[in-house]
This record gives sequence, C-alpha cells and structure tokens, in this order.
Amino acid sequence: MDTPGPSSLEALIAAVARGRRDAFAALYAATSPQLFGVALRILKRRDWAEEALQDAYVSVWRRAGDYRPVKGSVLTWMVSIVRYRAIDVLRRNRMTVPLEETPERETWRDPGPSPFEATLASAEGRRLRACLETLDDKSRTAIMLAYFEGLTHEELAARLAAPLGTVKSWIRRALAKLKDCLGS
Amino acid sequence: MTTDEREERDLKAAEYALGTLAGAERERFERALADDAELRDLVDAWNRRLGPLAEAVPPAVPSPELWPRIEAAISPAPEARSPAAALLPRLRRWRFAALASGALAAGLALYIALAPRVERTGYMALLNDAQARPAVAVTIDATAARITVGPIGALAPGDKALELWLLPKEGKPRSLGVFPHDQRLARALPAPLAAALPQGTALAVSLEPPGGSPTGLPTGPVIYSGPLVALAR
Repeated sequence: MDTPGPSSLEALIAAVARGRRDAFAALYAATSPQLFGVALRILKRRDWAEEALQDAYVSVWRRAGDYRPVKGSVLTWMVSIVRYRAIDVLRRNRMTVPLEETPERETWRDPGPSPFEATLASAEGRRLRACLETLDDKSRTAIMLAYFEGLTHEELAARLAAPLGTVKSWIRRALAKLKDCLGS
Repeated sequence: MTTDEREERDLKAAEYALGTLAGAERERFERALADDAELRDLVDAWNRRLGPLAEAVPPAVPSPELWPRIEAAISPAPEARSPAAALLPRLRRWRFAALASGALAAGLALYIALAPRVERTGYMALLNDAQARPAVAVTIDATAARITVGPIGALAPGDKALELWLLPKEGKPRSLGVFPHDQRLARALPAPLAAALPQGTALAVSLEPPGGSPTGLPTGPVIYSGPLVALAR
C-alpha cells in the first residue's frame, strides 16, 4: 500500500488538457460542490451562480493546459477562475439590480465575523488563518467582505461606513502584511 | 522599474485577485494582463495566497441540469443532442399548428405541464482519500441500471476487500458491492438500489473482510468518499 498512483487532481487536469472528457466529468464531480459554494457565496442566487459555474468550467476545459503547480493546487486555481466569473456576473447584474434590491436572495448560513476560524483546515489554510489573525479587525473585515461578497472598493466603503481612500489603504496595508506574513 | 513601481504593480495584482477593482479600472487591468506575463505571475501568486479562504465556504450542489449544459458548451459539434432536444423544434411546430385548435392546444399544454422537468438519468461521484487525492471514479447510468466503478488511484487493500456504499440523506448506508482495486468493473444495479439513488448524497468505500461486510453495514474504516452528483440528459 505505498504508491498512490496517478491519483491527484493534477493527473486529472493533465488528462483534461489532453482532451479527455471522462477526466473532465470526474473533475466536475469532484470539484463542483466546492466551486458552486464559492459562486453561491458571492452571487447569492442559484441561477447566477450556475451561470458563473458554467462559464468557469468551460474556461477550465479550454485552459487546462495552462495549469502549473506553481499556481497553487488545482482546486485553488479553479476557485480563482470561478471567483473571476462570479465577479463578472455580479458586476454585470448589479448595474441593473441594485445591491439592496437583489430578488430571491438565497438564504445562506452567515458564518459570522470569522468564517475562517474553524474551517481553514489545510496546511495553507492554517497558515493564512494565522496571518489573518495578525491584521487589525477593520482590515480583516474588509478583506473578508471583499473575498466572500465580491465587493468593490466603493461598496466596501459604503458597507463599512468609511471614506473610500481609507478603505483602499486598509486593504492595501492588509494585503502587504499578508504577503510578508506568508513569506512568499 | 523602481521598487515603488514594482510594489504598485504587485498591489494592483493583489486588488485584482481579491476582486475589489471595479469598472474601468478592472477592465484596464485585464487588458494589461493579456500581454504581460510577469503581471499574470503576480496575479497567480495572489490567487495562491488567498485561495485557501475558499475552504471556509460550505459546499453546495448545483442542479443536475448544469452538467449537460457544460457538456454541450464544450462540444465541438451538436451531434450529442438527445432525442428530446431533437424533438423540440418539431414540438414547437406542432404547438404552433395546434394553436389553431383550442382543444388540441389545451391538451398539449397539459402534456407539457405534466412532463417531468428534470429527468435524472445519471449519477457520478469521484471518491477521494483523506488527502483529497482522487481514488475511485463511479458513474451510474440509472436508465440502464448499470454502475461502473473505475479505480484511478485506489491502493491495494491487502487481505481486505473494498466495498462501495451509497450514503442516503437519512437512514443506513446501502452496499453497492465489492470491487477490485486495479480494474474497471461494470455491473447491473439492482432495482431497489437504483430507486434509492435520488436520496443518495455521497458514496464511500470501506475496508471489509474478503467478500464484503458480513453485517450489511460498513464494519471497517472508510478510506474514500465523495459527493454523489446527479446528472440530467
């Protein structure tokens, strides 16, 4: 019981890059609940989240050959693709539907002020959590709201009732501090 | 490039990865990304740094209609159309013609309203080990009542057997049988198990004595598991 064999998501994504549809189906089965969770967290509406997820998987199918381990784990790479698509969908729809009036808002469990406390379980997650804990409350809240809600600088300023310039500098300071703390 | 300029580029990449850039600023950044490999590397590094945050988000299962939409979107040719999809244009013509006759139109409308909106004809699961490495891929054709178990990274179980379980929303796990660790196995799915699939939430593999669990329930450790994803055609 020693060699794990060609068993990682990396092997799967390599097969997808060679045009293997069965590998793509397996990748979808393995990753879609996590990725849909991310899209739904940002978009709140299932129809929008599914639109973002569809765009993201089509993009994964086309760009599988671009994946490199230096970009992080396969899941991390896919999460970032989903977040960009979700933010695209959010910004496009928010032009027509103001934030407060978004209909059929999905009820989701609000993880509270520190959703990462219990759940960032991987080695990288624990490291990031430790670094987030070194930030002051305001900066950490701004980073979390931006990541989990897809808010822009302007929307963050409104949500946190702080001047735009102040919010921008909280975010920049926090990001620089996180980079130092993570050491890479 | 000065140190300040370098830092400014990296922070802009960070803001883009975080998602706070909006409107024209975001578009400008995306245009710059297209022909700046170094800037793309900066963004990738930020995606890697922030990526673990996604672990805090509870998973959610998309509707079964999504996978066929994705499959269709990546199809080079429309040859994969299901008979139902091929029928649709004809149905529309019939409906149009039927509008001339009120009774017929009402009948057709009733037929359309009664037709099941989603036919869940397939299921799929990828079972991972504790380190999130894929070990077993399972596909189920519910219409043909066939299950295929494809070990893609399962370890040799030694003197034990690998047994596959269906975990329903409520109630006890149902055995889907033992399978070899080193070759693909396809077999018929008994009707009671096929009927239990819509209530299934996940599949799991446990280590059992040769021949499978003597009790009909898992007795050994669960070594692989993964969510059951419903597919529609």
